Amino acid sequence: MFKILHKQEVAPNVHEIVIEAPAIAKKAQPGQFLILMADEKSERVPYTLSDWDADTGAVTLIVLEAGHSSRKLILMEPGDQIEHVVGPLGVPLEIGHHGTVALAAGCYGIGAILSIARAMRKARNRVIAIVEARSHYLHYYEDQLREVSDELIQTTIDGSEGIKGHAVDVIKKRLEDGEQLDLVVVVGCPFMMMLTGRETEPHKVRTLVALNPIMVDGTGMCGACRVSVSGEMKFACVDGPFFDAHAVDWDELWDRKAAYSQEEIQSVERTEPVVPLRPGSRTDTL
Amino acid sequence: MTRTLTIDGKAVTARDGETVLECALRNEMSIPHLCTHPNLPPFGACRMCLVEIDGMRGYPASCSTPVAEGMRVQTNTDAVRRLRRKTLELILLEHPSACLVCDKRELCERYRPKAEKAGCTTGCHTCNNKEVCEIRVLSEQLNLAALPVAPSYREMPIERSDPFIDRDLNLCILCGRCIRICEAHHDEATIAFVGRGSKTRIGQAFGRSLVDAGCRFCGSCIDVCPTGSLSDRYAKWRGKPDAVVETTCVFCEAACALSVSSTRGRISGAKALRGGVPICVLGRFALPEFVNGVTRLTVPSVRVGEVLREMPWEEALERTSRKLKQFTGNTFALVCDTTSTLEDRHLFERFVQEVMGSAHYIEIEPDRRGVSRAGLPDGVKAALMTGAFVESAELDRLDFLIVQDCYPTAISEQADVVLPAAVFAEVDGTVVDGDGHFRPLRQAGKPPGQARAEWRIVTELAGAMGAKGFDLESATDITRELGTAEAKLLPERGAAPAAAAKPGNRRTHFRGHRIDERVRGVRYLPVDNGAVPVTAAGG
Amino acid sequence: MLSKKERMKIPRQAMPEQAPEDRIHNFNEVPYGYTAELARLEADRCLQCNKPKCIDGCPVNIDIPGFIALIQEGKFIEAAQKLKEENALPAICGRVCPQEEQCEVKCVTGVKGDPVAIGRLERFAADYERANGEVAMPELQPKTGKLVGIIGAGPAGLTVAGDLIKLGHDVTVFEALHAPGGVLMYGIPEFRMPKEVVRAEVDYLEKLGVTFVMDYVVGRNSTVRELLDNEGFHAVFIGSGAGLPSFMGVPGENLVGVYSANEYLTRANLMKAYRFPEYDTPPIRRERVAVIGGGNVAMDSARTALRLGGDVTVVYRRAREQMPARDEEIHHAEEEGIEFKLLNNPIRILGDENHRVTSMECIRMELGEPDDSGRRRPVPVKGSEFIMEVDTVVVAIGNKPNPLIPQTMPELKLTRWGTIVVDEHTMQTSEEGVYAGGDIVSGAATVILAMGQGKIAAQSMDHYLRTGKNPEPPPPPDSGTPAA
Repeated sequence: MFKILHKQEVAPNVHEIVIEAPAIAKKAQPGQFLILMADEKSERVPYTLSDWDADTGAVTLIVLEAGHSSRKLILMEPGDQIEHVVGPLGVPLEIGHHGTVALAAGCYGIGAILSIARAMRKARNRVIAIVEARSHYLHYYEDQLREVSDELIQTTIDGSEGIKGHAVDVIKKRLEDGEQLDLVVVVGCPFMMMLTGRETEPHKVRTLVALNPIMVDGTGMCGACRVSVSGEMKFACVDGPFFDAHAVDWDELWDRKAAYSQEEIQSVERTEPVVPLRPGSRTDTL
Repeated sequence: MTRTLTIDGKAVTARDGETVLECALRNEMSIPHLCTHPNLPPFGACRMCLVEIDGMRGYPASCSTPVAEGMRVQTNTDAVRRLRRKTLELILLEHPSACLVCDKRELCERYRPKAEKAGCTTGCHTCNNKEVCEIRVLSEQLNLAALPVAPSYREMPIERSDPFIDRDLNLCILCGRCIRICEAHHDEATIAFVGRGSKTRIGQAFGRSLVDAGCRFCGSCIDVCPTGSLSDRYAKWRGKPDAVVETTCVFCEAACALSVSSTRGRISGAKALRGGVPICVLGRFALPEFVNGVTRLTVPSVRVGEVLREMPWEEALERTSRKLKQFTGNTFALVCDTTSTLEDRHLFERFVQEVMGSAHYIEIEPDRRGVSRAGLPDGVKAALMTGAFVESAELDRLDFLIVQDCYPTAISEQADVVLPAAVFAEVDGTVVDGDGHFRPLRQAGKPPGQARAEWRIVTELAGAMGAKGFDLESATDITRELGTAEAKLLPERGAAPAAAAKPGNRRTHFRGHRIDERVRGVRYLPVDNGAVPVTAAGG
Repeated sequence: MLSKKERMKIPRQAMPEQAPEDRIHNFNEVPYGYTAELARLEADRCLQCNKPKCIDGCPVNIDIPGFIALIQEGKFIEAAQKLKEENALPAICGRVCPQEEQCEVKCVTGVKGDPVAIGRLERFAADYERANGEVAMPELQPKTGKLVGIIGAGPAGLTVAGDLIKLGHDVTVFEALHAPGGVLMYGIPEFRMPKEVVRAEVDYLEKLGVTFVMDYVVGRNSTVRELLDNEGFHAVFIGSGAGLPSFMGVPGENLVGVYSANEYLTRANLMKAYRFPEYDTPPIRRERVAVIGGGNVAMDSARTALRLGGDVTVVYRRAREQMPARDEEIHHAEEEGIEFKLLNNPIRILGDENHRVTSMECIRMELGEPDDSGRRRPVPVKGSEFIMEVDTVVVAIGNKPNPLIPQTMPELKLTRWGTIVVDEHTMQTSEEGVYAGGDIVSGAATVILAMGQGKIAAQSMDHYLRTGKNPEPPPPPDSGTPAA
């Protein structure tokens, strides 16, 4: 059992969950992920680690409500116990001295690059964090990221804050302007990771993406998370999550992610809870 | 009296009392519009349907301007287009609109699943309403490319506190359609605009839940919502259905006409065929969850020794027929209720008389709550029942019991044979409403597993028994054999069904099954004591 | 007392079981187990030999005539306790041990007739004890104050835990998954190994004082070295299993609808997908399933697929005689209506535009010359390719050892297959205080072999913990040659 210490909706549908998990906090490294089961009947679902504190034993995850399993988690309250939390899993991102490192992120990835940025900066890299969101109100962690990066660029698709467009547009422009990027790391939805890979490939910039296929055990035992990288079969849980964006078979990844779409919907339509209005919530006091 | 006018240079004839918008739409000319809806009287709030009319000042709203003889209307001038776009931009400042102005939207949507499971919609990308969204249509019609200033997000909590209806008021554009339909459909509207200025929202007085505020859960508000802010909490996950069938509701004898939607052959939603008069909570919300239950009977099974053994239809019917031959004459009875189609019941009766040579065809008319109860005649040793209509104790004197039903019950567990039946919107046929009219039932989805239409089960059982004259191919064949008058849907009725005016009047049972055991949301609604009328007085 | 002749006259008692027609629709255990009467009748067949050979066949040296004698007397609980002297997990072994190759093959009754059904009797005694009242606690030796860390709560780890706790050591078992049992939990299906049985055996170990830590991935949360150096463990046993599935290396293996047997079975067993939507993990319910392989795991996958409702074909590249699965498993699978396409090998899996499996291309095989394993090598028959319509392919061709622990302990000596090198007399690895057993040592093998290795490891670990040394190797086999 793992206690939820703190929970907050940092942007619409984006939930920051802090869990007491000392054994994980002690060992976590940037780029790793955890597998969570809200209760004994839950699926095993991977979530990327955002941050942790080895001293207090707290680990922080960014969870998007995107289905039955994540819904269970975000409906839990501080003080509640998550039945199972396993990790840290996956091969940590190699934090060496690369030079200039661009970290591109969207949705849950914005949280995930926090610890990566910190470690990369500590390894004397120049860190450019480029975070994208649809609109200004979907950005989060601005102060936290500014603190751990040399440059923070926010983009919005509707142009309501920062640069109008996607993170990939910023990277593309910088590369076209001749800026030297030694490593690009992308964490976000597969669509964003694929697009970014497409733009950095002609410039021969090493680009790592954090793949998030369906997993079951997360320790290499089942092979559900296999992906094709340069035509080779890899397990995202033990060989990844980071892979060369230019070598990933994206179409395959997409279809494998959608393998259970029908069952997943069956699951949400049968289980959506009737959530009582919370005292003090806006709808309650009108 | 008809009037002639020109719209965009084309001469058209208007009907009496028609508005400019109605006239244009009827003549297949499009004028963008938002707050107006075919089921609602004109409102004139959103200013989207502005037009120019010779001799009139400014830009009148076509939805609230009656036609006049000789009127000359321009619907597509630069000025009105600019005004409409401005209006839309203003609307979108309070609606998650980034996807509408995204240059990668097409590519993104190609890679996205058709149905989304996100809890809170922050753009079209995760919106399950995107394929039927009126805002999207408008933004395309008006070539929206950017917003003039930064939009805002209202940060309203997602409302999941009520059965059947979820609300995400962050998507709401305050067009008021939901409030107006609620007012039009019910004596007293449950919802209203609450709060002021930028805090205005749709809600119930005093912050009550929909249940506490007396919502009838007719679902009409969802049906008229142009955005994804109001949604059917069961049906929304599947996105736009891929088929829609017009059929009749058989939860009660009001027999409202329904439009039942399905995705990949699986029933996913239901609503009133026309929204003029509301339907009740069962017709609007209970059908998909009822037919899609995980515990549905899906495979025939026959008792072998102690256990009910699942087996193919052919074998199950063969074993059944062999045993059934021992119970001809009045030792056999068939018990059904009138939720089975007319065709099914016709065949049941024929089966009893012609195959079994028995007089015990027992057809129960459910009471006003949908409860069907019957006793077995003396001397009966074998029975076929289409539901749990008989007290369990009565079964002790049976030597052979066949249950043909959609869900397991206390009596199916004691049965010697259990046959999975297709029900309701899974079958074709005819039902009779409370006034004696024939109403059509049309198949809208596939039955689960190996479940079959009841007439078909009985025909094949008759065949297995060696009976002649049961070689019927479809429900239509039987309808023809019956020679009944043509069944017609009842799309518009004078008065709303009683349960639509007051959910407490609804039926509690269908075909011997408690509806609230199969449909979770129903548990949250009270049941009124006292007599239950079929239709509400007055309407 | 029955005479020997009378005993030999009693036929071997069959275990009542669910009819195939019924059991293919449920996940309940197939055999019901002996009743007390049947058990006593079967036990009466045991001749109580003076020099019982059956014990030699048992990897964990159970006093077989001893426990059977107790069943003969109707002392069922005592029989179970007798079993537990050597075997902490009799309810499990009674179900999944290949007795026909071990104890029963040595049984003298089997020379002229059928051997005594030792496995069924073992199962009966263990089940009887579980079902009837308190499970008796054995006497524990005084505490030694030594801490033992066990990696993996599978058959090997559980055996070591059970033995060492009785010997007075403090035992902590680390399990990466969320439930203890290892392959008993995720791999072997409910209808063959009810999870309640596994749970009961684990509960028993917990009552003895074993600590179980779930959700703990050694190699990630701590390395073996850290357990020894920083966390106070005096010895570690690695029983992490053969957790990495092998694939065939044919085109199309990443299509949606191709599963490793591990994934397929884990979803069904550990995650209880067959109880979806009560449990959240969706099952893989499809129409036409092909299972590739001929071992017990292939049989388990095929029979699981059948219960989830589908037509199931086992595709195996060798012949029936060469199938590594237990006869009983093959027999059960055949009885349930699973089709076998023997001497066939998949060469490619085909899919539609959504990367979903639509069919599989196979080639017929014939047996050629014997290979290293002594089995005749299957060779493809030229031009015999054909297409099978399938929507699901389960690859059950074996597992490789999980590399997580070796990767994080570079000093550990491995074989070229990635298994851990051990001294077979002590089960010690190349590192002092670190022992290993089960599939991480022997590759993919059986539950009982893992348990046998666990027993050896436990003995030497006990010796090591008390003396700081491993036990002396046993004298060389009595072959007449003088010791070198």
